[in-house]
Amino acid sequence: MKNIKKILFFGLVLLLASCEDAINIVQDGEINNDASFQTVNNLRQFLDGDIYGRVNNTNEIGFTAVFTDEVGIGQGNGGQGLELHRYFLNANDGYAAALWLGQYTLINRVNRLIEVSDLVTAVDATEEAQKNSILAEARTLRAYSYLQLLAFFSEDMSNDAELGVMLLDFVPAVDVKLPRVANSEIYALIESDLAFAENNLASTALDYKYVTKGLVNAIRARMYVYRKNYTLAKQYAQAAITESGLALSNTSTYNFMWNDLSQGETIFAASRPSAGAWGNIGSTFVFNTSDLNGGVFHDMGRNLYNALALNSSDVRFQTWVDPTSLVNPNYMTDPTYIDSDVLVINKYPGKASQPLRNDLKLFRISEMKLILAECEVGGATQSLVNAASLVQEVRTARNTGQTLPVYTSAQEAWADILLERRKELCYEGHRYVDIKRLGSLANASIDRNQTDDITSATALTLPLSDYRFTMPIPQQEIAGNTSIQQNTGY
Amino acid sequence: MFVFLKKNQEVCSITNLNKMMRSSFKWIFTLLVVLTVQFSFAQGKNVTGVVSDDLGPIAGASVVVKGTNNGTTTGFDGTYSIRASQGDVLLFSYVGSTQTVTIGEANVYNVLLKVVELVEVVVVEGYDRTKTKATTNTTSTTVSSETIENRPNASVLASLQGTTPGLTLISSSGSPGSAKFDGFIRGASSINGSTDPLIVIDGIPSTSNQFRNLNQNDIESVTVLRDAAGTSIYGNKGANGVIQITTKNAKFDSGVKFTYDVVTGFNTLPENDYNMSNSREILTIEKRKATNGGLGTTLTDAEIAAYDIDTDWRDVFFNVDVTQQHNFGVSFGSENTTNYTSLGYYTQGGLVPTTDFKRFSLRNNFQAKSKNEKFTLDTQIALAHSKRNQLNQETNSGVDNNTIQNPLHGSVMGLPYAPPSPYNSGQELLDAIGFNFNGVNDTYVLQDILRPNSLPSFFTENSVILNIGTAYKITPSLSIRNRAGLDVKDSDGVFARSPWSYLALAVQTSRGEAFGGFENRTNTKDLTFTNIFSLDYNKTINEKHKFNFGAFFEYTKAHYISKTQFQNGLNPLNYVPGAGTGYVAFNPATPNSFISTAAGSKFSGGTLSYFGTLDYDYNDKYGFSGVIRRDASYRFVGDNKWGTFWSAAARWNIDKESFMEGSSFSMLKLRASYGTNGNQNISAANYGFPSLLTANNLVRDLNATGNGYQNIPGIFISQIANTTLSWEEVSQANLGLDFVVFDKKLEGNIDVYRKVTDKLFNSINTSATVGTYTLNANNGKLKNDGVEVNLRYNIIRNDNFRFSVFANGSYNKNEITELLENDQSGVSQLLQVGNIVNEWNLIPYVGVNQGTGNLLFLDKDGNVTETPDAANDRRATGKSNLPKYQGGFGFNTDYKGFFLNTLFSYAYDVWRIDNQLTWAYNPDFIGDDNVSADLLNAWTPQNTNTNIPSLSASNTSLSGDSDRFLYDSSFLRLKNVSIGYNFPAKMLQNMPISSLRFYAQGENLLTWTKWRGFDPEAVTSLSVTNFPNPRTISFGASIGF
Repeated sequence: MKNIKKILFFGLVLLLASCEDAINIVQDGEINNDASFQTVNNLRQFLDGDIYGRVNNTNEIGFTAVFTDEVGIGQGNGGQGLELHRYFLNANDGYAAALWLGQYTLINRVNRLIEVSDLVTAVDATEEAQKNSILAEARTLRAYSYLQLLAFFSEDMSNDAELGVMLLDFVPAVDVKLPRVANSEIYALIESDLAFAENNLASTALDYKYVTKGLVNAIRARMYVYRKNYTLAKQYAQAAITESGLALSNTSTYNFMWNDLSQGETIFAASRPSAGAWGNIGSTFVFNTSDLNGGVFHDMGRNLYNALALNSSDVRFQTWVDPTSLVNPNYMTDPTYIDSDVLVINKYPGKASQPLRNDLKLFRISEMKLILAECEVGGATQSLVNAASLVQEVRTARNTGQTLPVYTSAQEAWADILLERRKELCYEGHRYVDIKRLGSLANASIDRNQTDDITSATALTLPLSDYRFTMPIPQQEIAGNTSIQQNTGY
Repeated sequence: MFVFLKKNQEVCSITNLNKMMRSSFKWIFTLLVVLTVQFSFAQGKNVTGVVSDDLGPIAGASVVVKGTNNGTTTGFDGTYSIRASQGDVLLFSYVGSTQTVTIGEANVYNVLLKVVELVEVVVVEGYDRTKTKATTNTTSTTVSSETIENRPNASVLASLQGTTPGLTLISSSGSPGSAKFDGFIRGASSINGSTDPLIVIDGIPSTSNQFRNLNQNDIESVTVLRDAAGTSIYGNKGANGVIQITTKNAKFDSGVKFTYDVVTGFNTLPENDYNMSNSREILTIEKRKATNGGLGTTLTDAEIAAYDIDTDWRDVFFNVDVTQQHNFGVSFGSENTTNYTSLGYYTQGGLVPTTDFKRFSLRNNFQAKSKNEKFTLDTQIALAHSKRNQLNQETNSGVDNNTIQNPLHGSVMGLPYAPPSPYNSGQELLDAIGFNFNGVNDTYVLQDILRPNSLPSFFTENSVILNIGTAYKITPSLSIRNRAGLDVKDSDGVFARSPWSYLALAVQTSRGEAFGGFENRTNTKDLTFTNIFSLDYNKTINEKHKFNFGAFFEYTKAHYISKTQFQNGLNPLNYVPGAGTGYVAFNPATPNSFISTAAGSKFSGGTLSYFGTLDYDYNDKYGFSGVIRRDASYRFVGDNKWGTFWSAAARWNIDKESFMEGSSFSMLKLRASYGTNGNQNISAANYGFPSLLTANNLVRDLNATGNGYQNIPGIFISQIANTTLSWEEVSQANLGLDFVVFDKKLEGNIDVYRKVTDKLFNSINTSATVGTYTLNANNGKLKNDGVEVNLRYNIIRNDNFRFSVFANGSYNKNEITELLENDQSGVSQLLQVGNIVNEWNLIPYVGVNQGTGNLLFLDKDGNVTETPDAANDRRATGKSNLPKYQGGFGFNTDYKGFFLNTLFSYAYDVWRIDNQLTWAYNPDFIGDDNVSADLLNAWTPQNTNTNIPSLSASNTSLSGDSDRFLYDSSFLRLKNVSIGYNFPAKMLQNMPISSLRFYAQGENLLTWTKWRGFDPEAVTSLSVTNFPNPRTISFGASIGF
């Protein structure tokens, strides 16, 4: 009996020892930071893997189009965007949540890249330069994300003291709870990121689908014009044009830019190649293809169409309104305008073998030109004529032989610049921010047609003082971060 | 704790037999004989009789000619018939009592077996431990094979609903062979973790959550353990309660027996109560809406009144489906070995014609013991092969609310004024409609999808379960045991878009490619190995103090491998789904087309446990039991890797006290238990995925490689670690009373419990700066309080007539008692301290503004408003989608062999949003889809006194934030009814069969509910995702020989 007990005891001990394999399990193929980041090239792979792909303004485009006056309800609409189109905007808004998370995730990844770059030692000066260039690219993209966040979530971008967004320049713990900081602190980070980029970006960085010095300056130009610092905005808009070496596309090359056959005047585009699982920006408006039978759930806002159609030789009208569109001249009186007046948006038709998928053109020369125009109106030494000639330059590039507009007041100039931005930059995520920052100068706001909704109860405009011209801090952030401050009105 | 339908069948005296009747059944017998194999019979004469105890005839008692293999079992009425010679000794046995009779000259021997005490019903307590009903300390309910056998359900889980207090097991899909079951015992004890009860098959804890390959006719009993006294022994697996399934074994010394069961059933889709429009109604609504287009806007009132086409899309998409089962069983028991073998075939056509399920199963259960009874062995081998065709929706919830891909949704929303699709192929359809899904076109596309082989989606599953248990008695009081189990599944799947289908052609055309379609082939293998080694020591002191000690060691390891190959581009010339033919090769000239991908995955996981049990009994009057268990899981690290769980339980058999002498109680027992369990299944597994293998590396920061920017290989952050991850800890206190009273006519039990889940596995909300809004973590505390009652009353119990009623019910209320600080304003289903889990948080909808026709809501200050704030005007409703009350009841009747049994199930205080109705009421869909005819009563300036808002109301879209479509999903349902006739053995004595039963069954035949959708029996928050449980009528026969 005693022996049996001993045998059993030792047997059990052996059993326990040999059974550890059931509880100490690491799944095959797991890699941690030490294993992942050994060479400078690994940093490049991280930049390509988890950072560049996150550069995205899809949410900005979708939100802006539906909330402002860029789209009407299309005949295939099954409820898509109806609430937002009727101005029901609150902290539960899906676009707000996605935009906020998307940009902060990119920022988080850039911070991680900066952190893990310490794990990698460059073997020589060439590698050191490569490493710094990688960091320069990442920090440029971080600056872009911060600028987008401020544009949509700060109540007043032009006021440095106004509440901005959360400042994240480190890798946070999972229970991080950051308050929002003043715009000035965010601007300081953007400025230092872009200054670092300017100094460290490799001279070979010329591909417009990657960070270039042109992009660095374009971001600066947009930031400073948002801040109403017209001196610097002008300086960097000019630098962006010079550095990129690009000029406005003309009427014969413009359309090739929109189906991704050529770079055209694009300073930076977030690449969305045909193969692979990438988002389709065209799906913001149609289900399947950008034509009448492609499942149109958002069509072109009637007033935007009218503005573009004013001049049928305008290449933007020819390119962005799909030829299969149904245009009903009696749209104002026909009660079934939903079926008879279908203005199909064709800005994002897609590319080879991939309908509706296009590169996201984040910065273009025309935007820089119109920033320069703003600088002429808003700058210390106002020149309405210079502004007019810049607007004319853009118009002529789209439609040969446009005359020089005549502005008798600053307000007229602002209004015309805003109109040109409305046409030139439609469906690129600008309109909402533009109305907010230029609306009172131009005395203009959301400008919808009554046929833009299927009920006449929807207001055609919003007063500029409306709190909804700043997005709500998303409820999901509030749920996880009790330190965050909500915007006024929500 | 009841054994349902236990030997409650009726003697049918031979004198009552109607000769006419007998002859009229002759042809049936002839038919059956054709089905049977011819057997030779022993020499001698036919001996018959009735075996009974003092309660009446016993079904299933064994009758053997001693010293031979010649044996039989008593029929449903206690009668038997056996060939024996004068001088032979007949051995009668039933649950422990035996009696012998020597055959003399007479041919009829009625036997009265010693009283079989109800209290000696065996309760399976887990890990090969059993107790009598009087001495168990656990709260458990046993469901016997009679409740499960021959039910027209592919999964045994579907047959358990309503049978056990506190148990919810609901299928969220009526697709044949579906894996979609949601279960919990005593309320949901977790929020993000798994709430599925542990399922133990023949002593081996399963890591699976789907049992489509288990033949329910092989099941002897199902025991549901609910309190800590019962579940703590399962330590890290038993926190959600335990369902123990025991398969059939033959009995020793029982001779050879054959059984054959055949069932044929017909399933139909239940109705809904949405009052969907017919053609003329929807045309009128379209005309009234005017702005949304549609045929109605182009017709005059007279044309509408004369409109003739009225398509019922339900008839187009759904069929009556047929279910068939054949089960053939052979059991054999000699002195030292027994064997049970069964062959099963089950087939179920789908309500949707392109879906079905077929299963072959084979089981062999073998037992052996050595002559000195020191060594025992049992093995269970179950092999099964099943094949099913299912909708894409079954595994892709993304198409649940898609009218193009979900036939249930499409049949409701399809426009009745259009005829069924006039297009005979995908190409014809594409030529006609292009990519335009407006109007009826989406329904036509659905019709194309539902063509055979248009979107094939079929799966096969081969499964093997092998269990081997051995035990050796070293001394009379010390034994060692080992039980090993292997559970292997191998599944192959094909999902494709055939190149001739509309969807494939549409994509091909829009991409400008030469070939369209894709085929995705998957293979998954999973294997779980479990070994349990144990020591058992018994000691009795002074005949009154009985001790039992157990020591156990358990090892579990699970592996999973999957492979996927995805082919883009199929050549219609020779493409056949699943054959690998017609694959179009990649061509560098078209770099973006015909790209095929391959993927794989591999996971392993395991647990290790050792535990001890102690049982003490004093003179059958007082008892105490305790369990202590150490558990380790591969999922956790550091101090969290090992957890300790324990329980203590005691009982007092009051009826054994002297002061109870002469009372009408034959049993009165008070039980109390307290204990803890861990739940390591911190992330609920997808249907069909092994529960042990989810969340398999959450504790580590991980990176991954993959397709980066510009499709360049890149490195990604794939996981942010939570190193503090730990078990959910469930502690449970239970107080229970078991009783048998009034001449054993009334038996039942009552339990009250409090179950507290600590370290709740729940997402924590995180700031977007982390890179995600939610992270899996331990966060919070949840309390479930409840009462359970289970009763059976044998009202009439005499030779000719038996009638008994039974009922069970439970009340469960949960409350979240702790959570990390968070903000839930604007959330539809709350997780908030002080509230119930998933409490609906909605804006009150108060009706229609009689002035404008818009919807009216209440804001947070109680003011009526048309524009509530979806973030701030919500309020908690006290309602959730988890039922507060539920249970079942019914009766069993038996009159001279005719029987009628019913099982009703119910749930009360269940609230779900009927989003299917939201669609049917949405005026924005007019012109494109069908809507409810209720909209004919919509507000107009002339029709202001109505509860239907104006068709052009500006705030209809806010309904989703309100309680407008929150409906009471309480129901009372006739879950199962069976009616039939058992032939008395004497009537069969000249037949080569020993028992025969014919019956008809109905499943889900009647439902009373306020719910307007297809099926109120669901626990999902929304309705559109639910494929309803079908209504089934089946006919069957059981033959024993």
